[in-house]
Amino acid sequence: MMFRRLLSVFSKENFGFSRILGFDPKKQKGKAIGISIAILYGLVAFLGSFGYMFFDLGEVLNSIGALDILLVYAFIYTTVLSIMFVLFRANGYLFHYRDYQILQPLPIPSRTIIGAKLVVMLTFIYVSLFLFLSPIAFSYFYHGGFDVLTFIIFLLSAFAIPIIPLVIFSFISLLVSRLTAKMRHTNIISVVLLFIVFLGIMYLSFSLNFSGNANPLLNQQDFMDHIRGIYPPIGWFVGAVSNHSIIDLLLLLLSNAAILILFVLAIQKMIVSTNQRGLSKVTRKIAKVAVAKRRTLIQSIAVKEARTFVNTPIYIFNIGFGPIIMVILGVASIFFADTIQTYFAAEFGLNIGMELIILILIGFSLSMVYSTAVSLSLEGKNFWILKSLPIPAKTVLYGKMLFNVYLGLPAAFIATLLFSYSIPLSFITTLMILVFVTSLSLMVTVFGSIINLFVPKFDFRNPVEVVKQSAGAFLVLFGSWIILVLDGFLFYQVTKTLSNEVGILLMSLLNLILFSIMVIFIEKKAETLFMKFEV
Amino acid sequence: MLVIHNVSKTYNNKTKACDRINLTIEPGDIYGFIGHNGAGKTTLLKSIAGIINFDEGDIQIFGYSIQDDPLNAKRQFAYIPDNPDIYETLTGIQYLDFIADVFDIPLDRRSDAIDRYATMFEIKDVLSNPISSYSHGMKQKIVIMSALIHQPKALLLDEPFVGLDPKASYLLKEVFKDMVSKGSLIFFSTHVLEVAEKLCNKVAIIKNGKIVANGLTEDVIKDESLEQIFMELLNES
Repeated sequence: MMFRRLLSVFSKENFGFSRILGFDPKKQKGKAIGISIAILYGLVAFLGSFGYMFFDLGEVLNSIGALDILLVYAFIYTTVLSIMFVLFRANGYLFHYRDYQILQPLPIPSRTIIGAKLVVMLTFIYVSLFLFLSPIAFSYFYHGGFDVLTFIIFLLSAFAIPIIPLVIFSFISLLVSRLTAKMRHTNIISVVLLFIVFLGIMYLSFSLNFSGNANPLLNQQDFMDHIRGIYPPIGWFVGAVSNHSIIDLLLLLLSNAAILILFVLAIQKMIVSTNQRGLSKVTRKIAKVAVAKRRTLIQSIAVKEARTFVNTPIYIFNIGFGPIIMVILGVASIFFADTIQTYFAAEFGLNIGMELIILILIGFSLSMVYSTAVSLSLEGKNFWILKSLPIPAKTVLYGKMLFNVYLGLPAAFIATLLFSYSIPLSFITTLMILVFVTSLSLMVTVFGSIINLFVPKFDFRNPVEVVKQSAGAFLVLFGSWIILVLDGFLFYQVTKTLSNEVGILLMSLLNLILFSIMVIFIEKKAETLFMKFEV
Repeated sequence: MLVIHNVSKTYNNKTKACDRINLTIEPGDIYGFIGHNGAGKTTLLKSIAGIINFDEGDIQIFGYSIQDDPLNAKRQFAYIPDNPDIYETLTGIQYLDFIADVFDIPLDRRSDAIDRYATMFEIKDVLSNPISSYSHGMKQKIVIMSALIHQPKALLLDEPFVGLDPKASYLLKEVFKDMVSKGSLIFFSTHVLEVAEKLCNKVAIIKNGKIVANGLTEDVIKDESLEQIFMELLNES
């Protein structure tokens, strides 16, 4: 009874439309419809691209009688997804939850509270898990033939996938926060560790046994087989779904259920102690003398933004990913210059020139540097500060934009110059690419600001809700990709008759025109939109 | 001078939080704003500070309308909310620098002010610490310092004494007196009637969004205590 009551309250807290969208859809129907269409577009784009790759893979695997390997892919992809989710969210859901002070004094057993918290966390995991699984499942059932029993077993077994990652990585997440708690740069250390895990997974999954296959997923086959050999639940999952093995199904479900129960029992007391520890604040007196520093207003806002960035792990991890990947790609180009074009052709099935490869890589990486699409939202409960200070709205936005450009553009320049050195590219081509990345960085930056002005989300409990899951983040990402496609279309048309350099220059011009239109919009409308926000 | 003229604010087209409020706060005034929970105190203060919009009326701060000329209006005052939600990712000194940058305070002046107030509120040693490590009272002190650093002509405060230790409360009252002696005005909401009675030269009592009494403190309370007056007004239908 109490468990259901708690679950109902937590569900309202976490899954309400207003909470997810950041506004009440009943009051702003037009906005809700617009965002729903954009989300639908994003889903279709995701399912279409991801689905196509797996559909193609399923066809190949089926032709060689190895369709079961698709199940291994399903298991491993969703396991990685669960790991990422748990690493970021376990701390907030379990070990340091915000409503601890409200719940703890109530006569509710800790086990009930933890159970309800776990269910909410697992619900989030399952929603994203089934979203990822659906294109793989479609490919599997399309090529292997659909039958209800297999489908039911597939669904049932899928529920077991995130349990072991949940248990292991909850402890790892706690361990990382414990180890780094007393260090000065706790967040940066946590982020570095997360980057190591994530880039390690990426490296393993995309680089092992590269054999020049047209579908990149085929390159991972040996890796998948290897993992299957050392992690028994994968074998049980495959056995249960493909052979309808009751023993495998029972092994999978019962072992995971047992692990989950043991986990709940094991962390009951621990959760109380970690939450209690989270309540006490020890303000150490630092001998360092506080020295005031004067800056211009825009610089001051940009610096404030930078400080929020480095102190918010999910912010660094998500939005810092673009610059890091650009630099990694640039450095990698020095060592693998000879194989880049072949590799790229094999990975994406496109036989294109190096200039375009660089533009695509840097373009997509820059589109991920969208701090302006979320930074206004991240002001959250602090928004009263900006609202009560004599700062024009456009200055606030320009300060935030400055930070975004600082974040993305230098990395794009470094990557371009490294590519230019390793390929090598002519001076004029390099120059044109630098102009293009500058125009793109400016355009994505202002685009993000406008998106955030229209779809802010000030009410959040964890920055993840804004940085990763907000409508703003979603819209800027997919909107930027549309603009990149437009750029690509222009380039394709122009280079039929003119040189690549002219094509790149015209793409830059298109970006700068869009940038200018958006700046004019900010100059004219930002103040009005800003004044309407009531937090 | 702070002039609140016929200000009304309704939430969700239903709840009238402020109903045609008229108040004038003059330089040199320490003006107490008293009311029950949900009476409309915070709504009015946030409206003055430009944090929320209001439906009718106007608010002029030293001649600048908060709706028509918000930037100039905001340059005249500092606002301190009831809950010191400030940037936890910054250190105390970084937050103070940010506010000083907004008001373009020269480095020597801001350094002097920070040093003076940090010493006064005994938080000099923790200014280099992240605000996330501060207690509620320490955050409150940082917000107060950020308000004082640019020497505003008007100070708007929502329940300023909540969370402050007795010494800090005393010091804040002294700061109030010092500011009004230099021509600033103070407008603050409070539930602590004794503070209002002793500290304020003027008070206003708000009930269900309407001002039910206002003026010089001695005129409002006459021979009674502010608590008696407040309870009588509250019980009136």
